[in-house]
Amino acid sequence: MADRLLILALAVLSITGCTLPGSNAADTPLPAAQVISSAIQCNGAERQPVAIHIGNQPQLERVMKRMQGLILPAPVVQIPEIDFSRWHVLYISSGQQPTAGYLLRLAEPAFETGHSEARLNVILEHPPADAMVAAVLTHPCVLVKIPANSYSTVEIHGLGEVRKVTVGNAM
Amino acid sequence: MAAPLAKLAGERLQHCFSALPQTGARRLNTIYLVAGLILAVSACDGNSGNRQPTFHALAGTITSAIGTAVDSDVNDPQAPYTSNDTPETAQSLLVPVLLGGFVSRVGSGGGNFLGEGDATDIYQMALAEGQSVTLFISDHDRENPRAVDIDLEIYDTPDITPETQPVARSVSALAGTETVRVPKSGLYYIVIHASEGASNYLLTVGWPTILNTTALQTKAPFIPGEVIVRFKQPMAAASDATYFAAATGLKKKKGATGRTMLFTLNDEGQSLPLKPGGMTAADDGSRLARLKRKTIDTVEALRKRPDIESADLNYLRYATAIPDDEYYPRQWNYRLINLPQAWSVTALPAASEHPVIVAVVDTGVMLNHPDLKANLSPAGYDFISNPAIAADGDGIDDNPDDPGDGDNMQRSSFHGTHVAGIIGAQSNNKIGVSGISWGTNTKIMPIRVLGRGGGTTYDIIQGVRYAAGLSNDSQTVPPQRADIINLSLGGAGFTMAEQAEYNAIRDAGILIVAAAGNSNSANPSYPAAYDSVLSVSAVTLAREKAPYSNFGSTIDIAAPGGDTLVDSDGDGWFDGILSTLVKTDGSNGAREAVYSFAQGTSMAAPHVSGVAAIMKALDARLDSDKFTALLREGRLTTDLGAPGRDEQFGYGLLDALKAVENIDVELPPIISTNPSGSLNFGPFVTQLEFTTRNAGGGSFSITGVTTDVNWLDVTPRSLEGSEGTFTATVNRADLADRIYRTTITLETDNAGSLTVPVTLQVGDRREEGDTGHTYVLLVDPLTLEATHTIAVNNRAGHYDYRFDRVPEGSYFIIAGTDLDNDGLICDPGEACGGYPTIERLQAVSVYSNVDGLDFGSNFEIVIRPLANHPEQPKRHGYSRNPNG
Repeated sequence: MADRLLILALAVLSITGCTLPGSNAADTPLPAAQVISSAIQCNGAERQPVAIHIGNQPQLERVMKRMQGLILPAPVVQIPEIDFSRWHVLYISSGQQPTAGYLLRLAEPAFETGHSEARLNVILEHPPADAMVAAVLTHPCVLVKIPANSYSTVEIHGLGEVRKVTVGNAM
Repeated sequence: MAAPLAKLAGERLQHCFSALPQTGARRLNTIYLVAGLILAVSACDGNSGNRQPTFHALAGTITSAIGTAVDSDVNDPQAPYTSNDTPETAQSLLVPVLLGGFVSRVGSGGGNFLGEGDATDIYQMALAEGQSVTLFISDHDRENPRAVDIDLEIYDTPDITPETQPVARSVSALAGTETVRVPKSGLYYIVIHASEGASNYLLTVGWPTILNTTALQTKAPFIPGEVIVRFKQPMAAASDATYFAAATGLKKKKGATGRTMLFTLNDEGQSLPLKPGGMTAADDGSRLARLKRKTIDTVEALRKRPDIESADLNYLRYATAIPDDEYYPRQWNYRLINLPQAWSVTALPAASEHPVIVAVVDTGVMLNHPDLKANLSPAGYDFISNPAIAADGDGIDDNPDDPGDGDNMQRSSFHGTHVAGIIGAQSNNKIGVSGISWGTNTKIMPIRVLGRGGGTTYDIIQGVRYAAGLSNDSQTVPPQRADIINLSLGGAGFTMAEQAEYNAIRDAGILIVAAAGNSNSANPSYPAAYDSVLSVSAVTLAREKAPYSNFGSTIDIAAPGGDTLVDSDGDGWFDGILSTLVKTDGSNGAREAVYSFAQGTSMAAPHVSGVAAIMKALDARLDSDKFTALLREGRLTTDLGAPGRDEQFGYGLLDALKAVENIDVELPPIISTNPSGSLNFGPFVTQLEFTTRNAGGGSFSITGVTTDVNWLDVTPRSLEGSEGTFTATVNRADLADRIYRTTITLETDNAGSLTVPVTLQVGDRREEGDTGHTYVLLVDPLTLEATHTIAVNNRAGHYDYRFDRVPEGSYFIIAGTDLDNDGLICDPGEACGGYPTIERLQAVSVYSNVDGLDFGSNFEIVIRPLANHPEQPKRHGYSRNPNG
């Protein structure tokens, strides 16, 4: 146990003592991850879970419109203005679920970050095991913005296999 | 923050150390130590913040379908080029062939020909007498058919000049296909010529297909007592027709010599009058059946006369009824079950005034949805007893309005509104969607039993009992009980009590229809799996079991459930089931009536309930027993999968037209085969299977199966009465290269005999295909935009492809040709394939080198209609330009 504490202390020291040039990650707390939009019936081409980095405003607009692409008449979608130099946007889908009653949301804590990697925790809620449920397939998804920092990769936890998304380095 | 990061790095390193011979605790400490050191080093190197993306390789092999070929001078400048514009440079092909090509008139097309056009392609091949040569013009526009006009001619000489007469030609300016039949065997030059415009095309010669049947469609509605006749030679005088009438006992009713004539049977020759909707008004069912049988016999006898070119029943071609609802064209699912033809009966005024009630036991319904409210029964009810699940502030109440079943309304399914719309959306009101029960007096009784997180078996039983007019916890019953109960819901638990409840309701004559479940398994989902409940599996637009649909011994019937992840008909919309829905405004939570695509056995079940409602409207005597009997006799379905009942489709795909036709007409026994028409073995196939069944009433037994050639063997795999499965096997060993034809004769004891034509080709076997210069795309699964593209050429039927620097992520792999050089692959007329199949693309996760991603490429013969939806541009293919 003492060995492990020593090792963790070494890791903490090495990070706080060696921040990236120009990085203020260690000085200023980053804002929290924020949900831009979520739904249970996202129109996407994925049967399996996916996590995709949305890199600019036009791509965000396409994704948000596509999320509601099954609806007629095509709904007017309010697209938030995102400062992509300060935020990374991730589209996360749980993939196809067999019934209603599934919901994808951020876990608590939702977002943890370091210098080169960050971690976003999500939870796929299931209907109760013994419930009777509507036999319609659902595609829960969530569109999240996370503060950009020195990290270049985000690991998405909570969708079974860990998904890695390369987001580049906006700072 | 460092601790989780050290743990994170440690987790990733753990697998690297898993092979080391250390005890668990010591190994863990070692991992943490190394992780911490790595973090320390990487954090101090000054570069970790700019870490480059990781790249991996992705590779596989694409195989061209056997017998494919490609025009040697297409419009793609990057494709290999050899002119085939003249008889001297004609491209030699083997038969059978499915060829993709491109032609353009001078001044059109651009690309490889820089506006000079490639007006003519010429192919040389040995053709057999009777073979069809068919040209599919990919860019044919039905709304502007003269914009693209491609002609087909075949010559038996290389001396082709403007004065040379072709052996056969097809030059329709208005059609999307051209077909010629080869008059005699020999070497031919096939000329494809662009008279107007530019287009991809597909040329098919000699492929095994089920030939057009000339067998009488005795189950299709026709006018009893009337026959349509064409004579081989125009009759010289009216007296000839008179003579013919006298000789046959027929009476001429309409038409004239030299064209189609209509005759009636003489003694019972007054063909029965029609009541609205085309149903015969005969009250005497036996007389009607006798007259129908006599009409069929007459046509079959006329077909044996040497002076008759054709004789047919006078089929009722009342126009398929098409509602004017805005989104009806996107309801492909109705065409899949022949509903428009069935509507031609129900949609006419006064087809039925009999009221029908369908209970939708579900999440409730948006009661003021403009496309539903006129067809809702006021007798709905809310049976959710737990206020936390109900989310409407109370327990059981008489308001079945759906307030949403999610943690907020934005994340609610509004499932019951979608299900109800499939059965009973108001049709022909110019807005929204059409409901199946159009033209009948069908009302939806919304019963709310599902709320937040679903519902309970107990509440559902209460709702079902209420709908059935039985005592329940509400202390009330509806003024008219439901005729049909739809349950697009399910769960895993079996209870004896529930089984008993459904038994009692079914015994009362009420039809109970339920969704089979969406776990792509044989695990039973209840209530669908209960004995008294009709279990409905789901099919796609391609009439295949939907990838999610449950299967197994409890499946009774299949119906469209859709697939919102594919657009297999290329209409620019995913192949989900479109119906009424509710959308909520995120800012104030207000509900808004909309329409949406969805998929699931939830969507399949209401198709069955809706068609059952039509049947009930036309025949008030219909109850659960009669419906089940008709289903088991194959009178409500088109058989899919294994002959007869099987675990994927039950008794087959719901067929609304058959259901309407089979309500009250009793026919004599009629032998029928599936596939109907001919058996065509083509050049490759050695074994085909066909089934027999009774397509009429009564019963018969098959007493004999004979052939008159020694290269064909037919053996029964199973045979009981009229229901048989036969295996036909051909032996080409001692046969010379040519086309062979013969027949199989099926003898019965009570339904006459039936001959099945058989066609066989020997020779010109072709094992390797070539679908042309192929672009392989890595496509973003979300945006469907290409991120990487490479081009590969055919080597012995295969294309090896490899991407060396693929950033980590998920990708679709799609490959195809771009014959017309419009920047899109997989256009109509172009080859297309995808991993693992183009119909079922699966995203490939690239987090290490991936090899062996093999798939096939082929031309799609179906020419997609040009669709034009203002809300969404039509998409024929995939851009081969990255991010384009």
